[in-house]
Amino acid sequence: MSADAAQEPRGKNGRAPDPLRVGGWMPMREYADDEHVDFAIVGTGAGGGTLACKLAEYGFSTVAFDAGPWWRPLEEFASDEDHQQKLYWTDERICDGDNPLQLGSNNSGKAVGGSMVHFAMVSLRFRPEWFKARTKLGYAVDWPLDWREMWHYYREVEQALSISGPVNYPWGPPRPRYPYRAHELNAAGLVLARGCEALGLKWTPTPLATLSAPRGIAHPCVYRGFCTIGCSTNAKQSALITWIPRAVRAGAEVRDLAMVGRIETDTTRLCTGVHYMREGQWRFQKARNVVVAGYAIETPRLLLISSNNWFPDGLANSSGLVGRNLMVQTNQAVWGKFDEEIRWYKGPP
Amino acid sequence: MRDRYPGYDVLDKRHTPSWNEVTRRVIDQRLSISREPNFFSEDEWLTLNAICDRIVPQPKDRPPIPVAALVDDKMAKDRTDGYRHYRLPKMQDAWRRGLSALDREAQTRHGGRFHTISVAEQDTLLLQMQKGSLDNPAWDGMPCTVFFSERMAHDIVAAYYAHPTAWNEIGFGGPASPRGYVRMSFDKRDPWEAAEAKPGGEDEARRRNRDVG
Ligand SMILES: Cc1cc2nc3c(=O)[nH]c(=O)nc-3n(C[C@H](O)[C@H](O)[C@H](O)COP(=O)(O)OP(=O)(O)OC[C@H]3O[C@@H](n4cnc5c(N)ncnc54)[C@H](O)[C@@H]3O)c2cc1C
Repeated sequence: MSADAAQEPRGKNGRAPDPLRVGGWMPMREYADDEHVDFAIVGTGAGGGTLACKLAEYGFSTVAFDAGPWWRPLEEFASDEDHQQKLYWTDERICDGDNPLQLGSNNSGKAVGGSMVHFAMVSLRFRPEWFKARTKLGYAVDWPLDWREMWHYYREVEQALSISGPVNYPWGPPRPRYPYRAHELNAAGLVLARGCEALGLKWTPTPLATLSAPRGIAHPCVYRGFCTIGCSTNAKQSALITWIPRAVRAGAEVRDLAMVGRIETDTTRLCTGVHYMREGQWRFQKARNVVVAGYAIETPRLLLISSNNWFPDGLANSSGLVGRNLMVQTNQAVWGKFDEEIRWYKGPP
Repeated sequence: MRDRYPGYDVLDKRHTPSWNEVTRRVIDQRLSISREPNFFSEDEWLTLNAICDRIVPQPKDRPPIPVAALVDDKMAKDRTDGYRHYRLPKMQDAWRRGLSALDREAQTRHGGRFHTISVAEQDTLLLQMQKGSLDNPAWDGMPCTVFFSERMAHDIVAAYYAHPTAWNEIGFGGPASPRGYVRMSFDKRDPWEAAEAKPGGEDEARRRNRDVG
């Protein structure tokens, strides 16, 4: 096995790991720090990884940074909850205030692929009325875009990630077929289905971002049930094995173990690039546009920490809302006892 | 304690397709962990072991899970959780302060260090800690109830259930890569999963559990 991914960057010297093949590499384009790239992206998770791919495919010069390592799941992911904490952002965060947030170690990821490397793969669509929450439901705010526009992108992502889902989705406007068939339910799912039927409620298997049939050299989900500590068989369609390799093939550069510490702006109040720490050195990447996609905690942190004379309250903060009203991944779970054996540790969630 | 999964040993699967190479390495390391503290002092170690014995008491008829050693390993490597209640100091400091405060409480309330007082007295102290009613100055501003739930019990219980012996006890399938599972439905056991003994069915379960490897 090659050097420790958490110590040595892997995306360098013109190549990047190919996580789909044991020991595999693929060529990667590289940009110099003083080359004005079109986009510098902070974070390579659900947001940054996807965007890096799309921008590179549209022909923009793109460099994406991630503070975390570039893992090879087939070789480096153990079936062990404790060990797999290596996927999480475990740098210290202090939970303060009248009602301190109850976080868990897994509240966000620190890896190429971001939190998607350990997310639960549930792939839902926002329903039309939720885009007009204020007008139609009386809470929060209306979205600045129409649901149809978003549903067009959902379709694209569902195809790109080979989402497995039901033939008929029982709620909302009709949607096109999911590219892959729905997964079999595990006993925990069957309990819920049984409950729904008793109550006369509709139910459906959840659309999931894990393969229900082969895709290229990745084989279908084996129902090992360790999804939220990282998929060791590459059935999970995380950014690490979908958008990132596609981004690299389209000419994006991804820098792992590269922590962005500050975004620079100039006298015209436009950003000029990012300061980042890699291999023990602070460096500066020039860029025309900077995208911050570091998750709900690190994104505001970076924007606030980048304050300067022109932006004393941090970047993108004319509203004063950056860093407020924080929401993290919530968790909802019900536990119960049943006459049958459930063995809830099997299968996708 | 009744053995609900008689004869089940998750380690029997070590050389089957349920365990990949990296899993074998990780679990081997856990099983070979040093039984001597690397982080805690001699005094702290005695207190910690006594606490572990009350939070996760273990049956006498099997080798114990080295719970204190697993907690010590986490401290020695400073493997932090990534979040910290603002009333708690940093992980290592919280543990040091918590152990010495508990010892002080034991001294003043029961006349001896925590590991020397009776089990009933220990339980009383731990319950008071959980409820937040310990107030020796040695806590130094750290609420004992937050230390109890977010640090002490958290680390001890996580250490216990990270050990294969605990997986055997609760019939957990354990590592499953790349083989995974096949039978998803109610009452469907894959042949490499633990069989639970129904009353009177111990022998049958034992026979099945012999074949999980
Ligand atoms: C346990 C869990 C389960 C989830 N399950 C689901 C689910 O089933 N379905 C669903 O739709 N969503 C789920 N989510 C939510 C989903 O994963 C997140 O909403 C999504 O990943 C957020 O995308 P993001 O791009 O904002 O951040 P992330 O995907 O978290 O990516 C952020 C990346 O930025 C990097 N980064 C941050 N700051 C810096 C910096 N300064 N410099 C360099 N890099 C930096 C981090 O290392 C990280 O890799 C889950 C989340 C968690 C935690």
